[in-house]
Amino acid sequence: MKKILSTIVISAMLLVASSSFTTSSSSLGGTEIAVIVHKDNPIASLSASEAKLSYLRKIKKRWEGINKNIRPADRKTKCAEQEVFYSKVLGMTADDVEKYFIARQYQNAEKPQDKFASDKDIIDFVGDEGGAIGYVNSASLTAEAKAKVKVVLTISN
Amino acid sequence: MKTKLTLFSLVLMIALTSYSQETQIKGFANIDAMGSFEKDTARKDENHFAIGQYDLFITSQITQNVKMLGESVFEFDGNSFAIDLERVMVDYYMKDYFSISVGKFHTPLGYWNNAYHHGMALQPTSIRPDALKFEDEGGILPIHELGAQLHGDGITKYNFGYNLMLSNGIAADAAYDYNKSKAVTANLHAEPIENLKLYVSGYMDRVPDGYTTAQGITVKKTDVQILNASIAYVNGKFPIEFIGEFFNVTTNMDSVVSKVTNGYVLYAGYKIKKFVPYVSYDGIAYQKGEQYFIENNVQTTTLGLRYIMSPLSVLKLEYKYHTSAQAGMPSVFRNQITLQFAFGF
Repeated sequence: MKKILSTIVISAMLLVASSSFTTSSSSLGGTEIAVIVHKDNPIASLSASEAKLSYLRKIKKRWEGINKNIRPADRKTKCAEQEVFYSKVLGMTADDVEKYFIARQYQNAEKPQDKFASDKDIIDFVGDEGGAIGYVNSASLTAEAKAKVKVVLTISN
Repeated sequence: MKTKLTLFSLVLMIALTSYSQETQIKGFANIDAMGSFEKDTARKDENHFAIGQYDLFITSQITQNVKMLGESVFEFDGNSFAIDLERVMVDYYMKDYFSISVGKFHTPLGYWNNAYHHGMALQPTSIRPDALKFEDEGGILPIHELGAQLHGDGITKYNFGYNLMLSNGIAADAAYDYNKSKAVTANLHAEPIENLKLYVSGYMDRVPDGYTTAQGITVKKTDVQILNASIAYVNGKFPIEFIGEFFNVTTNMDSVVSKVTNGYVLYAGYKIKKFVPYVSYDGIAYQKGEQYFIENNVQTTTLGLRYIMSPLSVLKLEYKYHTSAQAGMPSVFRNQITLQFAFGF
């Protein structure tokens, strides 16, 4: 009993100590992101809080007008665009976002966000999928991309 | 009947083939190390490692409107590993405020029972509170029910929602209902401020004469009524998180013996980066002379520290002080320390 207690206490102390050395850094200077939806989506623009509610499917699960399930698109790995979107639009950490979608899937069988490796992949997905909503660096929106998707919000860091 | 079944199968098959299904398999597991000692009892101190629940769940977006979820848990039942089908449901979406689901669910009573299910990585403490224990652990609530429910949410900017369920009830198993009467569950909830959730719910069922409950008591015909109120603020923008739940269970046996049992849960935590120190207090208080349940008043105080390594890898260190006072038996006081590694995959 004593041994197991000591092991547990020492493990906890080591964890606390190790976390205090963790630092976070980000270099988001000058990143402007665009929140995009499919070009046929009748939504003209969204405020940051509306974009958050839609992306998280908090109030509505479908887009009005096109009757399509809302399909959030995300980046697979941490990047400047994701950091801006999470902090400025969702107001959540990356861990919170991940946990949020997993919890919704576990509770209600809701499909979690689709994840992509690049802005181009997100633009292609949003352009193909009528109910999609995603975010990309504004600089990635070429004329060809703009023919497929609609910008409903821009956010600068 | 046969024609209806054939027609249903045909419609289902067409639906499955005409839409590219998006099926995902995920799971949760936990490994615990614990040490406990009891005061003034003959039971020896214990320390051991344990495998918790090995939980596999499948979700599938079958069509634009139809989704399903299945959850199976492998757990040690004292002799060997047993598989329990904990949930299987098909949900048909009509509107945000109106969907219909059929299958086996967690009963929509309160917050905890539908937020955390079986995966420990999402749950704030290392075990469920006594008032919310599963039926096969001697819990007082009908945690799982088989039936159909109407549900919806997203009503007004306060995110009102509801569940209305008709189910087999307590005296039933996966294939049979031991009486004609059905259980009714109603749940109203709202989220007036982001992540602040309020619930009121109720449940009514009739247990038939001669039924043996999960606690092993053979009862006379009993009407069971449950009333609940819950509040929860979890994963919000403020670092604090809390859950408060109250359950009032009235059992009326043979229209003669009416007794009230109260279950309660209070939990609070405070997020500091990846750590969440937390405290909880929960218990069950039975009315003297209770005959439907084993009259065993329990109280547990928990002090814990959660280390969130990643969204689905969590280490919990907990101290619990548990008291139980079973009618006609000496009270038991137990101290327990648990280290749990809970993860999802």
